[in-house]
Amino acid sequence: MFIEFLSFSKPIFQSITTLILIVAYLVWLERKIAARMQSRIGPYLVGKPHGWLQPLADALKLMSKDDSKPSSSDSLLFNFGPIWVMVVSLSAFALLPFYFDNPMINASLSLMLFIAISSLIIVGIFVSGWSSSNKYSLISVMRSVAQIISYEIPLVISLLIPCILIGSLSFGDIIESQKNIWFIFSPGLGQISFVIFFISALAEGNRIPFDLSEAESELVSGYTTEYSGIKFALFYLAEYVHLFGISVLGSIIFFGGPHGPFITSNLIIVIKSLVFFTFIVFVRWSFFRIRIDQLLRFNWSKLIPISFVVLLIACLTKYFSEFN
Amino acid sequence: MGNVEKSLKDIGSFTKLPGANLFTTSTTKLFNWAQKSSLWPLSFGLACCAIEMMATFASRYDLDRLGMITRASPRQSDLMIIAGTVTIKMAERIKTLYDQMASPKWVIAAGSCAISGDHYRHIYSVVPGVDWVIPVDVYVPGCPPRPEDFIEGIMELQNLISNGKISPTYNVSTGGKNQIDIKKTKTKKQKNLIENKFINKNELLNYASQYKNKDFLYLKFITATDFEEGLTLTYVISNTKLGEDMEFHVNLGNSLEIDSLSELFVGADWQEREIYDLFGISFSGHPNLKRIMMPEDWIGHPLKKEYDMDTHNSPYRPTREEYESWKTKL
Repeated sequence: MFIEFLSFSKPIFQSITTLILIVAYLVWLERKIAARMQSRIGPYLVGKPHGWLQPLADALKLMSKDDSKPSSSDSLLFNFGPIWVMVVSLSAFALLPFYFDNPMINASLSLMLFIAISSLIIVGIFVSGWSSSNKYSLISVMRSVAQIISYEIPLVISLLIPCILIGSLSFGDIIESQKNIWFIFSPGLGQISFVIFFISALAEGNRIPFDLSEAESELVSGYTTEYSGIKFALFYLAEYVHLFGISVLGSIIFFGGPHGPFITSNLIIVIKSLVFFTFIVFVRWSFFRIRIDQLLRFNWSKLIPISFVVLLIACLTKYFSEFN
Repeated sequence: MGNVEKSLKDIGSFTKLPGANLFTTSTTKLFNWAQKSSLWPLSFGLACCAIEMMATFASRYDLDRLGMITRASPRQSDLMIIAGTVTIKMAERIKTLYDQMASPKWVIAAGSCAISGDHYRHIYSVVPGVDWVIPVDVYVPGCPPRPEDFIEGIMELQNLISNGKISPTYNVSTGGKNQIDIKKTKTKKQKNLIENKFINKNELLNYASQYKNKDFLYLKFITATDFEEGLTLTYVISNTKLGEDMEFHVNLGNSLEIDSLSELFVGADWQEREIYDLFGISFSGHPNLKRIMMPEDWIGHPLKKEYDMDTHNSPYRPTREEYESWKTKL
């Protein structure tokens, strides 16, 4: 029984360990890139060649820190929030053909399933902010819910456009159809849908210019204000896991997945998503933060109408190319 | 990779067994290493020292090299850098923030104001040193401390942590053993001070002119001190050729009048005006005895012991209407 459980869970443990290692070093990479952009050096002295032990030190320190909880908070929900966020953002990776050659769950609607799972993160965020009994956390999750729910629409539509043109919702078919030409190079529709995807992915991942739920100048540090120690580490890591998931998704849908210029390998996906992630980091460290009303107005009055128009054009293209 | 091996040797030891290489360490050492390598300071500053602190975080000095990133929430930060003068109003907030930080937590008091209050020490609104409110681990002197000093203080704190200092810490009195007796410490005497004595109030002009003829041409300063019994004036004049100083004091007692030295020394003019302004001593024979620092219509003399903040308010404050009329004029 136990042996069976081990053999069943071995791939899960393998992939989760790899994923968390990658994500820990993504944090280090972001700090390094931010430092270079501000003509600093970044982590350097913790582990001599360029601070490579920094993620380990941060994790160990957060583990050894006191686990504080506001006395007036709901302890069940307060503990549930970070665990839920971490579990959901990790389980979305089961659908991505990322670590193994085939994804762990091979569904024909895997793209829809991925979006459905990763949009459940907001439940954990909302619960944690609600149960913190802190006004900053509460305002932060209110903003976060409004933001993520409204940006879900253009995100899904921008991902639907390649699916309509290809005619499938499974990652396998999407990768297969980009063997010769990546979707980003398909004239017109590819570029526009990529721009919509990128903007709404930034908003989904709570990144600058849309990191309103963690605006330090207004809301101490958003929904994580009351969290310390390992629970905060879970939030911190989950944010990067989610971001890395979006990067992998973008590199699969728009940049041909494992199809490189010369070889086809899963390592190519990792490289492409690292490039994608680096671009997100560039955007974060060079832009300002916009207001919540500007954010929502931009979404509902510009991004969603444009994405619907593009969706209509994609449908018409498909109709005339298939049936005429 | 040689450096990694060296840093690993600091926190543990390598042992060789037949067939295996072992690295042993204790969790205390490992966690101490982790805590000192990622000290996340709470991002807040109180006064001008905070500007230097920001410079320490910015590109030239870059505290991110040591693994330090600021956190906005006290729950996630390990280190509190008190940079600036601590007022009583702010002290409450500092105490609250310190209590909200999750342990292990450390405090650095940076700058002479945070250490002792410095020259604001006796002001009614200033806390004389932040260690009256919260325990302090490392003191970084300076006014303000340069970024190098900040970095040295942080490295000192890292040494404390890696030596296993337990946090939170409290300032325990050493029982008077190591405390320095202030009376026994030698004060540095002025070498070139040739005379130092009290003179009578009436012979001031004669005395000063007598020394002026002996080439004591430069009046270094005049100052007044309010002892409870009465005011004392202190004069220092100097012979710049020989490099000699001489100091003489005048006990005023209860009277508030004395001859002015502005005929003999031109530099006495403004200094006597200042003493008139702050202590209320009138100098007879002064050409222009007006207030120099406080407004002309100020009531009272602020440096006297009997001066009371509540009864001697500023008599003139512009009203809302006056502000409006000035705006329209401009």
